[in-house]
Amino acid sequence: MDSNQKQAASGKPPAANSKKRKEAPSAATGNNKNQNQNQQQGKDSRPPSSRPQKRVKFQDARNIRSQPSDAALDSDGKLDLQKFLNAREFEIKALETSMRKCKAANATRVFQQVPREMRRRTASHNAKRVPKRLRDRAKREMLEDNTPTVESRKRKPRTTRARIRAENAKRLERLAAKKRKRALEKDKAGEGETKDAPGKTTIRTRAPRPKIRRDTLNEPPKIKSKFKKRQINKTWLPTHLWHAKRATMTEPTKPLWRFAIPMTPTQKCYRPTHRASGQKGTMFWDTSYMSTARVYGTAGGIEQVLKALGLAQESLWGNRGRKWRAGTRTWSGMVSRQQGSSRRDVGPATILWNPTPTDKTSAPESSTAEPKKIQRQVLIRTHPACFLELFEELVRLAKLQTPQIHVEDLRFEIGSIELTGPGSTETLLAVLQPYHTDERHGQVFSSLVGVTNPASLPKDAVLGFSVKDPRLSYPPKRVDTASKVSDLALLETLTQWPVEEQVKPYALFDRDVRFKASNLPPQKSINRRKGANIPGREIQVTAADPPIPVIVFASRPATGGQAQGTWTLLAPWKCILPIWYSIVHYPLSTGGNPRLGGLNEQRQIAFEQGTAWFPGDFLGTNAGVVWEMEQRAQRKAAWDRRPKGKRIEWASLDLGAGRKGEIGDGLACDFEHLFGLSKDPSSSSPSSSDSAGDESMTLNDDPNAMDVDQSREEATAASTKSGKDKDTLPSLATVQQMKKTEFNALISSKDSDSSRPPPRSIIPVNITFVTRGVANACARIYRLPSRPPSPSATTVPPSSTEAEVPATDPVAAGKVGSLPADLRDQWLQKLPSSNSSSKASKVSHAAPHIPPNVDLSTRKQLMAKSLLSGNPLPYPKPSSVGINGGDHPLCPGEEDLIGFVTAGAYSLSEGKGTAVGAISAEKALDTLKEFGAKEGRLCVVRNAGESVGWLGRWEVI
Amino acid sequence: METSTTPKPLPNRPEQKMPPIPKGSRIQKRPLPAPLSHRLSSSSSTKSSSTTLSTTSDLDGYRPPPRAAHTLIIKVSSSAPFMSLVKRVRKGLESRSSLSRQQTTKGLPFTARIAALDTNTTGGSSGQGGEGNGPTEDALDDVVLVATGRAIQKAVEVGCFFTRERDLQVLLRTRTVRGVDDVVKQEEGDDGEDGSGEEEEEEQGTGARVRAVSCVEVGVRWRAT
Repeated sequence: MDSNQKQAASGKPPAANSKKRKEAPSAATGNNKNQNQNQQQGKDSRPPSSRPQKRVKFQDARNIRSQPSDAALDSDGKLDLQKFLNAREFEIKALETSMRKCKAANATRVFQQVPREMRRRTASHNAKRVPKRLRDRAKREMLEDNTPTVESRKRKPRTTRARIRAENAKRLERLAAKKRKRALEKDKAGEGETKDAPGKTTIRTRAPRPKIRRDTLNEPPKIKSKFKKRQINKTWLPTHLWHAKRATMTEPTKPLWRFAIPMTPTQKCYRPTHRASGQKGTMFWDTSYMSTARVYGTAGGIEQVLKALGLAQESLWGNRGRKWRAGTRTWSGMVSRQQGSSRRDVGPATILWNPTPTDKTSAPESSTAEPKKIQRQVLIRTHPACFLELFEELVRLAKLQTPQIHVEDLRFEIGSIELTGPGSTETLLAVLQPYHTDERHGQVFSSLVGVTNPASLPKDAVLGFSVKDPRLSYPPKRVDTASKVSDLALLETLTQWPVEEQVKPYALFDRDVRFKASNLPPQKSINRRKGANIPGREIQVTAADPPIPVIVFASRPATGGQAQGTWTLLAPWKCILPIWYSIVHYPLSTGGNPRLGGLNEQRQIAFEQGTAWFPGDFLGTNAGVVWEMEQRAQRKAAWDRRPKGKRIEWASLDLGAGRKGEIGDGLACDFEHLFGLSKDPSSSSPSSSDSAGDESMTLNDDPNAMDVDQSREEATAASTKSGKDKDTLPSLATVQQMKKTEFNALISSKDSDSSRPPPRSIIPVNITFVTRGVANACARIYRLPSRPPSPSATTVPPSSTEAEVPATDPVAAGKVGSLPADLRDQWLQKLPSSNSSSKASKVSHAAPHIPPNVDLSTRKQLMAKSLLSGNPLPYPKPSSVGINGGDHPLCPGEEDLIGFVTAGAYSLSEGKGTAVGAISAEKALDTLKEFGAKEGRLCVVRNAGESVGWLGRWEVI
Repeated sequence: METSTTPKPLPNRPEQKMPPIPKGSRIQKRPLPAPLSHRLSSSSSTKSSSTTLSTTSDLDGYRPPPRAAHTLIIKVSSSAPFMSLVKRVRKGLESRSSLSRQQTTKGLPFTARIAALDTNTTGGSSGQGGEGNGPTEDALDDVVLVATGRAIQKAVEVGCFFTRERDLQVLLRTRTVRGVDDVVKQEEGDDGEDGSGEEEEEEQGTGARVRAVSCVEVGVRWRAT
């Protein structure tokens, strides 16, 4: 007790002040500790040792109560059935409870009851970590079991660094106490003054708006000094503190795209992710790291800039793009920039026009000359991996226009949340409540009750409106789907999509509105209002609650069909957190809460939908190249860590037919090898491991170089540096990505020679395995070998295989040329339609099937017969790639290598292995022209370091 | 809508057909709306009467029954393996067996239990014959398979499979649901993938139309015992 008073007298330590945790628990623990100490002295009422008490509890649990059966007999000896049954029921229950209790009393401690998803609360040695409702019991148990406790604050620092830190903290504490004291004194003096002069007017200044400079990059938001040191080379997402407890983040020293990004939840979630994204539930991400830029100026100028970014389609600027230009639809796709004579993809972007007020738009639509002069605004949302590249290009293009148009970097002004899954619409509906009831878009949004797939909205639909602070209606209530008006009305909305009339400019474009929304009332005041409110009733919106401007847009997956679409919610950066909390706790109508996702989950969903994920699957962009280089370095590091006997020795891989060694670098999607590009000077033979190591080490610098480049100081000078930047990018950056439309046009064009795809161009493909097989990243994609012309069948293969056999291996060189001539037919036989013949041949090898209903003696006879007659299996098992010996066809030769897999796994949505990769456009086109659309799409996929390939079919995505 | 005096046209034979799609355009289907659009709100039983009223009728005037909160809804796709569907239904039934069975006699005195046993056995046999007990009866399905188009056959097959089991009851309902189609330009299939924000030209209207789709619901439930 006395120590408690002392604590109170000394005042709270500064750390406790800034902590969010409430005071009550810590005070309670302090109290308890004192009690514990008292107990040690034997003064307290509690028994000094609770072991006997525990035994009593245990014995009690084991004791099963029962009733003698004669109690059920009446006085005259008749059995009262009801009584008898009741007694038995009681006994069974007693047995069951005893079994349950026994288990509990025996070994379990309270922290073991904590559900698995609250993993960080399951520490056994710290009662404070256990959820509040279990804390008392945890404390008691710790006392009973004599668990040693350590208070980290009072632990003696062990390392020098820790000691210095501790000393520093102590000094800071003293300093803060002094400061507080001074402030208190000053306050007292000040109070006296104000009492003296009550009529004195005070000037209230507006809180400073964050600066947004035009045509340059902006600074990240001002960080609390407490967290400043941790954000030196990165920026935290608005929900960082929430995420850091629940997800694996990027490493502190290795941020991704200058952000600390959640990679994956700490909980295992591969299959739950699949379910939540497709069948039942919702996945959601904080995608505030996605970068936004605002371009403003004359409509004509903006049009020129966008056309220069590759939005040159007729459909966008003609009548069909009217809705997009009006601002009620988004456009999303790849933007590109001019590089020499060709165009190079920058990355995916979503572009949204700010609508002009309706009364204006109706008039100038008639004349074409006038609208070019109107001031318009465009929001460009893109991935941070390619943002710098895009921003520089934007600034360059904007400066070319007369009158000049301007670009604003809104990266830390606008944050975003993405949701997908059947419950996503429902979740958003519960969280986003329109602020103004007369807003058209808000009304349309509220009428979407019952939509279970964002893809069922019109393509690229946008809604921009203002919402209430979601904390006012926290916890979010379940949207009552039964209260929906009718199916008909919903269908009407979905078909008509009445958003064009009364369209107003989106408030999110307005800097002042964004700023006002950022000044939400503190949680404290909300709590106070909640306390004053009648329980169960929502807090009324007052003037203190600013409307939060949001833009939501739905996007469909590229594959179409029944796959789930995605909702994207754009809101001011500082409003993301309150919205986030409401989304997290929304009780879905199908049960459970929305599921958290990280970057890996995003990739997983893209993979399951068979679409490419930026930047990992876009090797034709600079961002994709940087990603690939990073991945190579990571794989190399993982490979290096393994002991020599347990890692794949690339040089000794046997591909059959005398071919030895992996093609290219086994740890890379080695397009350099495929296109014959020069690697860095150090590496001459790609199959040797150490040279690959050198290469990845040197390439490893590139992402860092980009990072440095991205820093604010050098941003203005970036345009001069971009030339140098190009040089530092590896030769892989000369590989181009081809569009699906261009490729399809090439296929359909009849004359083969006039139109060739540009050299070193790749197309992204989605591969589905025909029968079995699962690909990993870096797997090799081959086309089926063409049948050699019959007379020269023996002469062709040697020349082709020579290339990839290391010259140092004389044995391999001697065996060259044994690739079978009918390899193509062997592979074609693997197609399921012709599978019956191969099955029949297999059956003869297997043991004869014993019919199920035979007696033991016949069974024995059959068994013996099978053992004696069947030729024994050869030992060791002949390798499947043995010279024509195995039953599996050999892998095609290196001349048939067409590409690499960038992501592959067993797909839960397909029920078999699928992969996303890229193949050479030239070779793919040749194959398609030669063998037709059906057979030309067959390919063989072989994992790096394995000798067996599996038959697959590719589709351009 | 129509007045009650004129005979209502059948949904599959409407009085006026939809206009043909303009030349050079094609239909792009949007995902079908969810089959679970009308759940019984699980909050209270007093509310249930109002919710049954608010559930909307189908195109042909059929008012689908509201579903109980515990009903598991399985969307059947035409490519779904048969046994996988059977297993999913079984799993759903297993988890719901205790729920629906216990509710009947839980906490009742002995005599009442015996009485309930009697009525249940008779009720089970009668329930096999006629199932026109109205929407509230229909709402008690433990598992519902919903299928449209080519998947109808599969759903019916699975339903037939479960008719063999003596303690299960299988109900089949036909429905008409509506889906939305986009009318898009023909060549857009090519350039649509690279993300151009295409829209139908103004003279063709909004470029979206409603289509009626046949749908089958197979309800599987524990026979009340």
